[in-house]
Amino acid sequence: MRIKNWDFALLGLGSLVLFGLTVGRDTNREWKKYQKRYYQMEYSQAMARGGKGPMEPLRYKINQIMIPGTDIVDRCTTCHLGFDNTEAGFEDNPYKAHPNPYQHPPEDFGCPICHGGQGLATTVADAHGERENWQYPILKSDYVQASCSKCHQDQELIKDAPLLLKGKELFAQYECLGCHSLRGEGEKDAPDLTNEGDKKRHEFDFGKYDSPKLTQADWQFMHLKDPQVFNPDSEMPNLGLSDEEAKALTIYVLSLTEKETPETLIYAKKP
Amino acid sequence: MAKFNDLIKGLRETQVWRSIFRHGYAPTERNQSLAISSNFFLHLHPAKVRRHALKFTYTLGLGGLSFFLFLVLTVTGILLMIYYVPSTKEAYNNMKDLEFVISYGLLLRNLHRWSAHLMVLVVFFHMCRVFYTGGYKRPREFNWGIGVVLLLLTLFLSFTGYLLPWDQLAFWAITVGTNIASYAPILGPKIRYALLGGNIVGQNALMRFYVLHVTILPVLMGTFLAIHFWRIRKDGGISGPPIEEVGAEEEAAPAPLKTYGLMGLVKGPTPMVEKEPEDTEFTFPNLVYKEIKYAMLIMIILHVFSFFFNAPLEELADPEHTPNPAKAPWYFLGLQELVSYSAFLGGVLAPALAVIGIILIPFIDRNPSGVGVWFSRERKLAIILFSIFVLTAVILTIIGTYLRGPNWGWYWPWQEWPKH
Repeated sequence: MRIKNWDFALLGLGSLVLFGLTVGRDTNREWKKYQKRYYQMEYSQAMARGGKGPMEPLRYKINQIMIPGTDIVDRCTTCHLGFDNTEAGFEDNPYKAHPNPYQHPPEDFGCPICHGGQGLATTVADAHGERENWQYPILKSDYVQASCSKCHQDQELIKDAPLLLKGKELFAQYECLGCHSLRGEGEKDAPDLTNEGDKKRHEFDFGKYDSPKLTQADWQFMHLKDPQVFNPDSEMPNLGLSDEEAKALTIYVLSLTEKETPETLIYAKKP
Repeated sequence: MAKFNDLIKGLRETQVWRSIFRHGYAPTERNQSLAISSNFFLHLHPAKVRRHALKFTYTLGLGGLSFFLFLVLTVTGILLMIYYVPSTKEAYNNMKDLEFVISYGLLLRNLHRWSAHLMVLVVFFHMCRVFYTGGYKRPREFNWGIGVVLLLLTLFLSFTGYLLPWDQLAFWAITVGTNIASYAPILGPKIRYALLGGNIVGQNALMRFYVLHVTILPVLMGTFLAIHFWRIRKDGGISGPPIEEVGAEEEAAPAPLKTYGLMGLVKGPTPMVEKEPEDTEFTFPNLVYKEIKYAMLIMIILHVFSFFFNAPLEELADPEHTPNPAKAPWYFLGLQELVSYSAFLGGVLAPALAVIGIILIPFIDRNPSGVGVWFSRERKLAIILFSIFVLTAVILTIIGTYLRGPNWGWYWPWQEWPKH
């Protein structure tokens, strides 16, 4: 009796190819690309300063910050390798150094507590929160000020979070509480804003502008500039805000939260 | 090359080799029989099988495929257990770890998830195959019942696994699913309480589902699988058209007073007793090779699918944000649809009657003809009735899955759901 073996060979080959593809994809993870470029930059700068010798073998590794007393694990520094490197040549993201690192040492605070985003992730889209299953995307540039009032009182923020304070002033100046309510104060003619900053992205109706790139900050900003932009029937008056004012108000509105900040973080740097 | 062959030949004559493989290599009939009967894993099979049973178009390989998927799920499941902590604080983060930092973690999870879905489907199809070929008829009534138990265990295994990622999908599917269980009179709320270890889905529920999922249910599954396979052999191999002339139960020779071999004790129509082996073939390699090739093909398909499609993972479970609609896992959506008409009739009475009815089929339909052929003309009524049941289940599931939107309202696939 003769057994035809070509089908076994074919199936075996198919399995082997798949195995190879899987190994290949798993070894070439996105974050390695960023580490490679960083180490190359570091190397060429060392060469420019008159260093010698071949480049060290690449030391790919996941960097993570684990904050004791919380279940926070941040892997942001896996790609943002230059966060503590103040040398010239690392001024641009993803390798930009954190300004004034002693104020909030990353090893005590991690990143998402201020910047938002998904600390556990190791791909750009996931980490920056551009995915359906992560509802708090990163707060870009000035918008990070929305996080300051999680721990700090107003008087502490005059220097570092001017836009947040300006937003708070504008909130009073335009008498927002004439329609909205906030922590039991104000009127109930418009939505309550007590936890406006806690709202998930999918709780906002982006109407015809819907895109995974748009964040809560985008919604608030566009809506403050033109209250009817998403919902033509909205009764909110157009306040005629400048871009700067809309940004300040957006930051203030995003700072309205009822979430508790872990105590270990609030007192992390208090002596 | 000649030297290599000599080496292999020499190797086969060593005491070590001969202690492991007790049969020769040459393709003789004796060796083909021994390949099955002297192998722990293969002796599940008879040494020879009826040619009819080998035809792919008869069985579609569904029973074997179900078992293979069970094996894939066991292996991937055990590997996932290494990383998984059944805690409401950690479970969801474990899913993220699997995706972002653990080598092949996401692939493992994908394989496990898709195999589980496929297994529910395949086990159901296997039941349909056995019905439409009359495989449950005498003497296989009992094994049909075991099969129904295995289907229920499959559903329950899948359901308990559904909670483990601890995302919104998991949390609300289990909330809805266990609510359906609570509609049973008197015992319902107690069953739900026992399942969840409380009144809501929380840490206790996660722990209980985990223990059920990784120990209790798999052990039960393994036990019933063993009984299922054993009964196939005892009931005379897989079903097929009746064998003519000799072989009926009453004609089996009375057991001799003194026995010198097991054959003297064998009762009933095992294919090898007093039968002409003309319509049989050797299991090795005819069936074994087919099984291996089929398993490889399915593994490749599962792998490709898991390579491109990730298992769903929604946001972290949030008891304060109920998605609208909150849906049970897809295989319970037919039930959920019934529940939307009447909690007790749809959620308790209908499924209970369905399960009892299916188990009793072999005792209700005692028409012995039509075994071993698909859609035998002699079984018109039985086939029509069963098809109505299957069709109803499928249609209800499709409605629940694709046509129900917020507040369980009816939405065509092209209709947009209102945002709030």
